[in-house]
Amino acid sequence: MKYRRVVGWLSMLVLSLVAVAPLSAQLPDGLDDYIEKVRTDWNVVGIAVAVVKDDSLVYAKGFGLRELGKPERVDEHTLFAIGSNSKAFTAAGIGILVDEGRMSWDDRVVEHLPWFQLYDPYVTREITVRDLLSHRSGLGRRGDANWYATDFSREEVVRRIRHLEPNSSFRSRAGYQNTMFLAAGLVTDAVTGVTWDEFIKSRIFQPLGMSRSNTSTLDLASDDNVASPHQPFDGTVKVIPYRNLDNVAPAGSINSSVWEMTHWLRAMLGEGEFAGERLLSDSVVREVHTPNIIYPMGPQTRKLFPSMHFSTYGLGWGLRDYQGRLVAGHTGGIDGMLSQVTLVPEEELGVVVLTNTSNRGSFNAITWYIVDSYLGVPTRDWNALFLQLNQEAEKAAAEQQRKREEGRVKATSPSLPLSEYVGTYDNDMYGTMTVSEEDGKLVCRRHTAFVGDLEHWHYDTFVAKWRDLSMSAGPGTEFTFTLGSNGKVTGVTVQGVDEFMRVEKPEPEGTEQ
Amino acid sequence: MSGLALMGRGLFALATLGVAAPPQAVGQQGRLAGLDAYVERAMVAWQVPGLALAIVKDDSLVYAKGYGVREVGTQKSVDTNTVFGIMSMTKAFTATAMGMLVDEGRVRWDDRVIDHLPGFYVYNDWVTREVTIRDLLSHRMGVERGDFLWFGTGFTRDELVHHIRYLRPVAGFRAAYGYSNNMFITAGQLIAAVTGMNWDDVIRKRIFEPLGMTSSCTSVWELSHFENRASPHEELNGMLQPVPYRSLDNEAPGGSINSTVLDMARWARFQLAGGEFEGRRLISREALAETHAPQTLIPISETTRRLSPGIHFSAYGFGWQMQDYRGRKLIQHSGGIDGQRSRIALMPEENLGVVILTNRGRQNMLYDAIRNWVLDAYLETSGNDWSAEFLAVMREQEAEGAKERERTERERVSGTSPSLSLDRYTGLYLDSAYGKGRVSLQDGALVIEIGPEIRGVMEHWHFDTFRIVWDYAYLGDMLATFRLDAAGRVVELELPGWWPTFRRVADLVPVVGGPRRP
Repeated sequence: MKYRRVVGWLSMLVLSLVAVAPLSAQLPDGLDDYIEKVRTDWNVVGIAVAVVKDDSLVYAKGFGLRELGKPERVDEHTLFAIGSNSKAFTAAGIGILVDEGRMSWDDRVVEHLPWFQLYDPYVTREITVRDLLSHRSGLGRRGDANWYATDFSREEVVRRIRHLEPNSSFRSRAGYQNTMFLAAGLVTDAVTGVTWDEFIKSRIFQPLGMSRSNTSTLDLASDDNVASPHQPFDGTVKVIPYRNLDNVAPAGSINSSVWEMTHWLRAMLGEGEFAGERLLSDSVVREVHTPNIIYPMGPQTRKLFPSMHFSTYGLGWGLRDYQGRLVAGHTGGIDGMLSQVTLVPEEELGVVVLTNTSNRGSFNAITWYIVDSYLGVPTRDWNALFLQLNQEAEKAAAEQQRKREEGRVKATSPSLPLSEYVGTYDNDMYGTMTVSEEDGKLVCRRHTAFVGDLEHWHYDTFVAKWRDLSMSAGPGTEFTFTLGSNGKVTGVTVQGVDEFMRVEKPEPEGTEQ
Repeated sequence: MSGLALMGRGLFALATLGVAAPPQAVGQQGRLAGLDAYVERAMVAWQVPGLALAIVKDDSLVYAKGYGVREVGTQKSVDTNTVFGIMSMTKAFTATAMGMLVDEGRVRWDDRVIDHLPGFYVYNDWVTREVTIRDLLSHRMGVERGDFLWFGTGFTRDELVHHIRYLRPVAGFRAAYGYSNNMFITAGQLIAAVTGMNWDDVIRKRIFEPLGMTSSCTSVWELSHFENRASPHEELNGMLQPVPYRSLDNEAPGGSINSTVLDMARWARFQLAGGEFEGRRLISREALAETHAPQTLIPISETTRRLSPGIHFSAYGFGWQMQDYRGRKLIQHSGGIDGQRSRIALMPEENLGVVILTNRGRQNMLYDAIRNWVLDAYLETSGNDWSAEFLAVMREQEAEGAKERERTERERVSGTSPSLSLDRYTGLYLDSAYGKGRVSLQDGALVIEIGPEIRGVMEHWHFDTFRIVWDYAYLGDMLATFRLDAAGRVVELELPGWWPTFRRVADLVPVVGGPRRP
């Protein structure tokens, strides 16, 4: 209580210095108009926003359309993919098991998943559930190519991670890791004997009355109020299919509405209690909101948030200080679906923003506008600030693409006839990929979803143009083939993934020298 | 400088500074109105004999004053040129020196330690390979604190670095905050290896000299040069009394510097100015910023929450602890050893620095009460009687301690006697890390000696457990248990807490000469 008093006092101090700030903590005036403007400025098809304050829902509203070209409007009950905001659910799930004494945060992962293995034997032995949930495995943001649009099962994705060489020493720095959250979900399976999905449904969704929330795009078919994902293609926004995330679900597969998410927010702000029912102990809530690893703050963050001094990650939650308060939050992003959850526990304030169009910051513009209003601090023109950042990012991307084009060496041709590139390529971590010649052009195939037409770039580099709609938006993926001293293709490096080695065709018997 | 040495009172200090006093100094006086009386009152409440305080603001010294006496029972007053030990505040000097080497391209923060000190070795091969300079400076190695490697042992710095291999892991590598003086000693030896100079000379030449810290030194042996020095004090048997200076030569890069508040004010200005002092840059802004950036998270106790308003994060950088305090970042460190406690606190957003040096050891949190008072004065949030709040916390801690002692007393089994005659407990006891312990019979009582310096009398408690009453009374009492094997021979001595279990390796025989240690 004393804590709150001090904080309240501080905000008073700020108020006394800045006359333009609102006089009491409340929803900003004209919030509807502000959100609608943000939606239009960012070219986002649909947005839903909800705010909880002092354990009450104070705002829940939808804006725009569920799907472009159709009349249904987004409302507070429209389901969206919440992406990585699922991570806090996975952490809370483990928290329930900790409360029940069935495991502890510092259990070694191998105690629950004896087959679990990382690149270093020492790290394999030492890594704990806490490490899985706090992005400090040292693997960095890699390995996503193993689950994204692949046919691998959850277990297969986790099993293959042993081949991934760490990019920083164990626990030495933060590195965002989806596969580790997936592994945490498998720990839940192992401890409870039911799937992560069933556990989350029965132990979190059900008690919180999140009856329409689910853990798979496959569950969306039975609901009649669902937002469709959208993506801009050269400036034109189009509908894209949902990306199924079943094989990485504990890191990001939940679909929900702002209405149901407010129940979750209230449970977290209520130190584990929702509507008189206890979901989690207050000590578990404290634990997930206690930092485990430092995130470096770049110049951009410093400029945007001058009052921020610490940026860290707890268990499924990003934790920062903002205007003298703790802010726990997360963003979520998957094909055509961007979201943000924000908690300011000292103010008992929670904000959730769900959007259905790929964009770099509409959710930020809305969240910080609302948070500032409740903190009673002078707000900034967040929409303009994030729009400007977005413009800079787009310019940088265009510049990069221009440089890439500029670096393209003209009038080269592949070293070998196309048929010589045909073959099977293998990588311990990422599996098998084939390259075939179809209608005089090379085509690569990896799993069901990755079908790319290889267009010659220069020398032995090709660019894969993906047939998958949402993947087709980018500039393509560079494939650089390497030749051995015998003049034959030995492997191919796939941009952003790894090198795949060509699997030797078995020579007919008797030809060996 | 000689003019400053004559300053007795804070307000005169500002007047004496004259040219140095910036226009806002008048305003500072307003802000700090009442500080003088507050400090004096609090010193009585805390029974701290002497204290020196300096405040820097916007790159100027705005307050500097000594209070009380250098030694109880004398009239020698503390002034702004009185030399105190700054202990662990030394760590930031080591980190800054390392940053200078980073600037020169001689090391990188993420260099592996074994690349510079090939003999460095910790409990596990993989960890040994992975440990970086960053790890040495940020208390995240996961090994036991091991202060009795250096405290009272006479081991040299090189020997200490060698002995680190025997320290036991107590937490996962980089999994938790664990304060380690030994890693700072290692960092100092790494600086020595890279520069070809000893750590002391590097600190003197690269920091003291350019900052004009003319009353600062890196060893208690140099204190004889300074007649104006504070004596350390501890309360022993209910009486506050002077105790000898402790040599920290073997732990120097973790804590051996002695200095004055005026010298430390220069250091604070240099740190707040991002590595520049009076127009001269000693370290790049980037390298210094790295020492001020959080590396290892520190759990926040309920007590810390009570005494640090608005705290949400606490972390260790390189030689600095940092946290948020009422919405600002506070970069700070405390120092403590026999009879002395100190604090430096920097608040870059306010361009504010506070240095507090005191000459009382245990039962002293006064320096932090004054820190909070000063910070609050600048943040215009005064109103807390911090001295009273810290005092209340200390009283609670003392009550806890008393309860714990009562519990121990209650659990004492009466009417038991040792399994063996006392002479059979005597012998040579050994631990790979901590060296040699000797248990002997002196005047009919068992006496334990560890290394050349630590000595205590063992009083029978119950069964084969004895209570050790240390000659350094401020080490506190400790229960130690002898273990017997099946044949009834003493094989081990378990010393809970600070030491590991020692193995009994030999009977005592009279010996002279030979190497210092087995």
